[in-house]
Amino acid sequence: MDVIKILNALKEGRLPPLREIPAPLLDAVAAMESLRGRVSQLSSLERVITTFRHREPDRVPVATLVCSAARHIAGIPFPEFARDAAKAADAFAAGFDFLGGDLVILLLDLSVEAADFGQKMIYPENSTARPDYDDPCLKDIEDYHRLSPIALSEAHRMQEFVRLCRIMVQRIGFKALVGGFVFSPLGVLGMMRGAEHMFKDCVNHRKAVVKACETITTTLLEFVQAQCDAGVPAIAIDTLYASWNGLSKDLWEEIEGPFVREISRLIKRNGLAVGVHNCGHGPYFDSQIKFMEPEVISFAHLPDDCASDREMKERYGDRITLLGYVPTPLLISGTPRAVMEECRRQIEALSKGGGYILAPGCEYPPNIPLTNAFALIEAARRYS
Amino acid sequence: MMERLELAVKTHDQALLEEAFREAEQGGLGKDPVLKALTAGLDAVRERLGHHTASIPEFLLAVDVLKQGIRRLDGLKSRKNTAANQKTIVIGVVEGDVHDLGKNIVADVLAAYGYKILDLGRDVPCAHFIGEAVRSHASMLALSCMMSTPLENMREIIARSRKDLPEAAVLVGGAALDERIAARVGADGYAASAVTVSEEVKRLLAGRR
Repeated sequence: MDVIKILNALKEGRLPPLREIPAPLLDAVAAMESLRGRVSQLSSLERVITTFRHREPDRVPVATLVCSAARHIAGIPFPEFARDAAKAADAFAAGFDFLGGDLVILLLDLSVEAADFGQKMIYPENSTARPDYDDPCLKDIEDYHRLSPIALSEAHRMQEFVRLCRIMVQRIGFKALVGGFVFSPLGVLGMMRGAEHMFKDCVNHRKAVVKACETITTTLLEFVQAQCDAGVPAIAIDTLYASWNGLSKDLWEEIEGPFVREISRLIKRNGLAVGVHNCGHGPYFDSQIKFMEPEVISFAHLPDDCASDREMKERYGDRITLLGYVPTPLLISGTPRAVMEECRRQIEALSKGGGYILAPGCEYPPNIPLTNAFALIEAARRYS
Repeated sequence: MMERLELAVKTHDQALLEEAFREAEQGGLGKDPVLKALTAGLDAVRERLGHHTASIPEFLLAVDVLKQGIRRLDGLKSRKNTAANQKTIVIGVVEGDVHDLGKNIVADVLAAYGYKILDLGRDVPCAHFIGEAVRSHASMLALSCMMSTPLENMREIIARSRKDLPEAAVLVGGAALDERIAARVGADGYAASAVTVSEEVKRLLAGRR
């Protein structure tokens, strides 16, 4: 336990790295809060810590995953949200103030890292920043070998993201848990090569892909360290391709597993909690736990080895906190009542014994009304 | 030989495909049995994909081998004029969206199953979609959309197609959709993935010109 680190965090008005606090102490706090939660309202941090330690808090915590959608509240144009940490922070803070919730996950888009590796970007007025798919950075196999690590000091978008982390940690303080974010090495590679080509390369040019992942990971480690230093208490690693939407389990474990393990270990050495986000179909929970040992998995679909919520809760519910999984199409076109009904179903199936946070399966869609985000908050209040 | 062609697709083995084609050409084999063997190979991979015993990369590589095989078919005799029987499907990602991996896979699969595919790419404006569909006398419009923002554009294309090309079926797919949203935007059918798309297309086109 690094007492200095804990005291410094408290002095700075932010949550200390959770892994710096001995587990028995956290368990004792969670047990106490779980009892207290039966008669009084807990704070967001108390609620999240209690559920992380697999105790039932006063109600199910909620992560609205309202990221770029919050720019509407603050009136911030999409390109500015994507590129300016102060503007992005205004949007995230406005979203949290307006909607509430117990966690704020800082996701700008999935191209932050790729942009700094030289991928040409497009910043649409009304849509998420994305690579220019007509001009991929990696055009052929030889380009994999020409890839070299980027120093964070030369990585503008990643630097802005770290600045966003710092601003949000100070602004949110003890009001909620603020989470950082990093796209996995294969994810970054896919943004530069195009997913279709990368998938085929994973089979036909495995060594080149592994080498490229190694290069990218060198940079991601520096990026993640900077997020740790910025004071976030948790970081989410997005491992989309560890699912039926990506590679076979064996191939994912061979190619990306070792690298995300390295990233996860760095996060843990800094005392932070590790989250995994995977919105693919049939995510490989077992493989992701094996390599990253996360505290929490954010997901949009049942894992590959589970046929029901019940089976998922039985198999994984005591090992990780489940964060999810209200479907995106429902948020887009469902009535608030339909959304709340689905939330109720999930809360009933997954909240027993703690270890569950109600959330969308993926980022709240950026251009739909926020009504259904309110529905999530209300459902947690009403049904748990 | 047919088994070797089928195996070449199943195992995405381009060298085996070339070998099997040389034998087919020497043996004077016609296009139709060869195409049948190739698509049987893809059927097998597609079924395995549906059961999650094959992965997306394997499926993409199998499609590549199939496409290579289809290109080689010109060297073989054809018993019937398949071109005249081909129904045209105009496919694209609607305006406002650029994610096309799913659309590309679906286009390749449908081409493999004998449909004439007019692939308009991504970020396709309504006018262009409708214009091309009318010009080509399309039997179907296949619209893809991964994000929520362009759903209105999809709705617009469907509404316009009902006026300008009322005989054409409309199929939609993509991560932003499910069966319920597909019905709400006015589509005739919904394809959850490349695994189910060929059956859905067959169902929608049954009885249409």
